[in-house]
Amino acid sequence: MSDNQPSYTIALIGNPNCGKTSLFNQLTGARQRTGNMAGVTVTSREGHKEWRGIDVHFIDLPGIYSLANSRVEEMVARDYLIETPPDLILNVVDGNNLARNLALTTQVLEQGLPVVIAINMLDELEKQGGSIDLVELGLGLAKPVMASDGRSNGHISELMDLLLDNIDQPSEPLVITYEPHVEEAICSLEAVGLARWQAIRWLESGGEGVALINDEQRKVGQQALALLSSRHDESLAELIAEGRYGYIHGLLHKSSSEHQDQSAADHWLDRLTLNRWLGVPIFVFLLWVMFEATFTLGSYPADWIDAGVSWIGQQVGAVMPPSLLKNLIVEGLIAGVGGVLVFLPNVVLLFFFIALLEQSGYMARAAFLTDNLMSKVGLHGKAFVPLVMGFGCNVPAIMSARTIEEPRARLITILINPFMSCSARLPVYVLLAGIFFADHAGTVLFGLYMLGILVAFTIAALLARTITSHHDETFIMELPPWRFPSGRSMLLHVWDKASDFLRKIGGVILVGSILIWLLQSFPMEGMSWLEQLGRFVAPLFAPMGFGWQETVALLSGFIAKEVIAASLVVVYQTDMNDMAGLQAALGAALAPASGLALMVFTLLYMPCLATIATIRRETGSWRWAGVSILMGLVLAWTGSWLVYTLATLWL
Amino acid sequence: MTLIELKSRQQARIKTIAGPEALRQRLVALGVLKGLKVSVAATSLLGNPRVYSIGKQQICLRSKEASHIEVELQR
Repeated sequence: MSDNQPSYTIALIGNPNCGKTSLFNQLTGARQRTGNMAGVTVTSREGHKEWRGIDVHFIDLPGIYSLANSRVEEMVARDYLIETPPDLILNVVDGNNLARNLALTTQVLEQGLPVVIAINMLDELEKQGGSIDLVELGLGLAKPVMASDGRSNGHISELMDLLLDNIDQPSEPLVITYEPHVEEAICSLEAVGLARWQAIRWLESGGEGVALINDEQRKVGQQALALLSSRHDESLAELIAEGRYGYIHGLLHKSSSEHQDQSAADHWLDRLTLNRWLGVPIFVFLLWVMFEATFTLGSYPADWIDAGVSWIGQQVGAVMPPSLLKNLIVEGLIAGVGGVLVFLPNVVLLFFFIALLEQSGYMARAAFLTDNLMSKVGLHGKAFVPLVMGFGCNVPAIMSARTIEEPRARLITILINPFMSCSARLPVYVLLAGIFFADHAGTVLFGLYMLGILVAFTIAALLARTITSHHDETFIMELPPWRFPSGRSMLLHVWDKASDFLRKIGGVILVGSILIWLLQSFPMEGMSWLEQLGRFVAPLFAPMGFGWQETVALLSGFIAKEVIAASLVVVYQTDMNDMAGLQAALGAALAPASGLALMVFTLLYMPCLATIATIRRETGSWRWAGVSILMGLVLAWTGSWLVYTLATLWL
Repeated sequence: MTLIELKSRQQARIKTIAGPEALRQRLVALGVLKGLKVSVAATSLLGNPRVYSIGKQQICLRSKEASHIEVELQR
């Protein structure tokens, strides 16, 4: 890129769940996480696109309902627009809920910022018998309006042209006439030097929302607020909203036709999934099906990968002359990496199902079903998104807890997140459940995830009783319409997760396998270092019936949990270089009760290094990271000992 | 009556929104406004929270928040 190449910044703004991130991904080729529920984007994200020789810099702001509320996401967007105004704003609007989406648009337009409006989800609107005259709407707003679709790329070049054509166009602030008393208050604030939009913003937020305000302005503002509240029962936010909606309804009266509220199919789905008595059983059943399918469907491609890996192992073994290097490659590298690679199908399937639940809109409904339980254990309703994300990876999940403002609820959400079993632990479960509980492997998986959730909620309840709460945050959630998941977005999501997994295999798991092999192979005479280490620590784990091999595997899991599976493969070196060999060796060495205990230990024990670092960063102290480690170790030991003791009685 | 007293299959209109300033701002930002039609769309197992159809939207509210919304029954 040359220095004199023109460069512009365009910011995407819009309501939560209006399809902003999908559009951002299309514009920039990025692969940010999307989902059919509010709050998937917390902080702003950036991306680039070259168009007509111009470098366009895109910023995806978090989804917001208003610029005048003081919530984290809203302040991020509001401050961004005030402090570093972009060259252009791309306002993404959900065609299904035009009035409310346009309320935000009017706030942006009042600020006099240059705006292009993209209307999403017109197909859904049309399906329900509604329509919008985009030309009429554009004339009314005096801004370019274009239809867009977060699911297909067809319109992107047209949109890019429209965006670039509208950069550097003069932009007049929109003027909406409010109720006379409100207008009076706006005038009095304008008289002391505030711009009209600043005055409106200040009043709308009840005296916040605009940072730059001096003592005189503040005094005038307070007087105006006091006067207004003596004259009206409604809050200022309501009075101003009435003005906005009055303007918008006038606009829509000319440009759009009414549509029915909810389609019959949507209504039927809600009747079923939100049913007072059936809702929770259906939720639990869906989760069980998800884990059962993750195990069963995943085992077929896993067998092919396994066959491929052992074929490669045999070929390399046959070609290379016997040497230490050959052993390293065959017994360390191929066995260790292959041993984890086998679980790729399971991981992909799990992510596929989670994406399906998210994109269809079911997750928001699940949040509704579980809200009561969550609030009982001191969790905020917003904790649902971070907890579900924890099934993927705890690191981004813990970061997404930033949306929770109440400090206690946020801290609890962070500390219990490691008990949400991340995908790195899945290989261990699939491996062990396949050996010891082949007929009920799906149920065992389901049980482990449920145990993780149970432990998380118990710990949350305990923490809620020991840490004092600051204030109650309100929980108001919009239920998104049901949507048929788009194939493209599902594919992107799953591919993204699969490539993450592969990258980890190429990195930490590869290095881990080689290290374990080295420690296992040296010294050449006598007991290997690995065995010495294992036997030294093993007494700690003896009550659960673990040998030194399992001990070593658990120790290696501190780096990353996938390494546990790789270590087991390398440590249990068998003549047969495939899964069947490992399964036979493990099955002979461990009692089923120990196998179950090993899974429970893996589920509960300390978070991996990356998660610990994230807890430290997000809570701002090593203390909580330490608490998390200690809590995990104690719970894992007690939990797996209990499971082992009970299981020996039963099995 | 307040929103929490609304029974399923009853139709009402929002009369006033009271409560703390932050809640009122939040509801307004979500498009929950005076005069909109409201009905109960779903009830959770223990009766709290509930989902309400408000205008064209489906919004999940806990009793605590819903009790600040005064409604008028429609026949």
